[in-house]
Amino acid sequence: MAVRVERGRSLQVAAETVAIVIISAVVLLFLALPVFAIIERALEKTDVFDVASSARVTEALRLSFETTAISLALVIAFGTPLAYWLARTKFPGHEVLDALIDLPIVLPPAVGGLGLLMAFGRNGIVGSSLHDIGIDLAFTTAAVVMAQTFVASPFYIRAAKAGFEAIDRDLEDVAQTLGSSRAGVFLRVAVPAAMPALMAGAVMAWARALGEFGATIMFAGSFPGRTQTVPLAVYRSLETGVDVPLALSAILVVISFAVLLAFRLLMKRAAFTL
Amino acid sequence: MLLDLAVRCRLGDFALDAELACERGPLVIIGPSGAGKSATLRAIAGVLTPESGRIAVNERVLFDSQSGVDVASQLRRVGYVPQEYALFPHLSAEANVGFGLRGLARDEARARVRELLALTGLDEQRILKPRQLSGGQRQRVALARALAIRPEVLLLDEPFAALDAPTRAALLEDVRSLISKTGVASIFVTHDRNEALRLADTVAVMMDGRIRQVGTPGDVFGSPADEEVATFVGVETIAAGRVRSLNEGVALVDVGGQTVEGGGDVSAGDEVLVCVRPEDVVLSKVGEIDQTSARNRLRGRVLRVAPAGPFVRVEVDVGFALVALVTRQSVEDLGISAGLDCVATFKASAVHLIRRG
Repeated sequence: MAVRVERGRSLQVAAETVAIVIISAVVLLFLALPVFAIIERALEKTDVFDVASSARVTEALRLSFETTAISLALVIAFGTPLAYWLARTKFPGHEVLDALIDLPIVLPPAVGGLGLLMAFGRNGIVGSSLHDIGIDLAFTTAAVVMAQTFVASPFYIRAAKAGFEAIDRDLEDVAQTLGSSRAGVFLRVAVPAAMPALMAGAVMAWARALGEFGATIMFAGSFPGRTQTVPLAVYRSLETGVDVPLALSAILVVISFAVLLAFRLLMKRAAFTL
Repeated sequence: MLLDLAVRCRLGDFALDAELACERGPLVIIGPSGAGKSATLRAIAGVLTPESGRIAVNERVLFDSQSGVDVASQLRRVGYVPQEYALFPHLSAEANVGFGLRGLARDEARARVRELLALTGLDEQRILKPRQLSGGQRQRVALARALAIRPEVLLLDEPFAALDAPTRAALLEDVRSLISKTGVASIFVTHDRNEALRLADTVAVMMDGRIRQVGTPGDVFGSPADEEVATFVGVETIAAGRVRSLNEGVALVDVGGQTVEGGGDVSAGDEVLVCVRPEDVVLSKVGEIDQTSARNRLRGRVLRVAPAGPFVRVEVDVGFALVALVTRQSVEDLGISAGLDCVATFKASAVHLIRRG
């Protein structure tokens, strides 16, 4: 009797294991196959390395990395104090502010781009005044940065806020008794203590900025060398064949994967030494 | 005067309304969890602002709602050691200790850090991060960090609660000697009676946001102010009685059909609570000749016998429930078990009377 029950159990365990393996395999395959397809087809096509070193591709890559670097710097510089403030201050209606900050995650990027155009375009709310003093933001490299910052900042602010909220408040209290001003507490205690969360948020924000398409094409257009980042170049170059988009995509896949992997390994080490 | 404090503050549903004057440290604020001890300490540290009141440490006013004084936490010169120590996780032991020394010249700060690491025996751990340290080492880093700024007062919130029992006993002595060595005024918060007894010159009992009694450990543990304090400080026998007469400062009290002699500020006819600490009660066999000078000898029957750590807790019905704490050896020698008749003996000076109402 006991043996029978045990055998029944072990059969059930085996069945569960098989089910989990099958489900996991289906999900992983679905996620990995398109990525693999890009790499495989890119390598199969005519000289992928020639295409990759063509002016059109290198220009798009350079623009993408420059603009995302600036966007990320802006997001971190402004988002970190904001996230800290949100994490530390509870005021009536802070939910409204939280929802507002998260909005760009939910909005279709094209809507965001349209919003930027209505605000900062030549006839926009602010843009018309800027135009009067000779500043036109729309369809410039600055517009690319603005579009990326708009869509990417919620990812960073959310993560940073959660990171700051998770800090033991005693740390900040002790720092105060040890002579730190509020700015000192923020820079010397809160930021270092929340660093893993800040890094995670920064990686997600950067990844989002790198993949940004909709808001950019609405607000900045797609001018090679000025506003045509990699995602836009992939889309535009499809008109002239599949070689260039494949090469660009393959490069983007490799770089993105390398960054995400490196980040994870780094965090693992950080968790160990912290 | 080490501490002169009166703070009122609402924290959600909890109302803190503490008044406490303490001449001599170390001061130990003792009380059950949720009594407001930590909040009181945080108010002294300046990381919690009371709604009204006054706080003076070593005669220096840190907070006074009437005259609008509220010295910023970073200027109070308090060495605050919160529960679980709150070491900066990203900094080494050394950097933790030196955190508050920004204002000093680099050489001076480095020397001070070295001095404190030596004082707390942390030389070998100086480059380790908090998560690489043992509980006891973490506590010492926190202590060194607080002492580094040469504080006017050291505030320690349950400094031993996070440690296992053997470590706790050893560190308690270390902390005691460290405090006497540095001569720093100190205020502890704990829920542990033994810590209070070993660390305090002054004990303050806190319950429900209020200070209920302040005095020497002898005062508080021997003469608790009311029934709740008595229970908290470990008095296990609390029986209701009435003072029959007073004779040369000794009161004769009728309690449960027996007469008990005891001391306390009472007069004849008073309704009182008779308090006896269990460790003051001696049990013996019926018929054995009394060799002590104890004034109270009550015959009774054992109700319950239960182990209590290294001792045995024996409850005897002597007309009221009397609790005795005796050694395992005497339980064996006397053959104590439930239902046995025995004699309970305790001195009149071991009896504390609390007037009721």
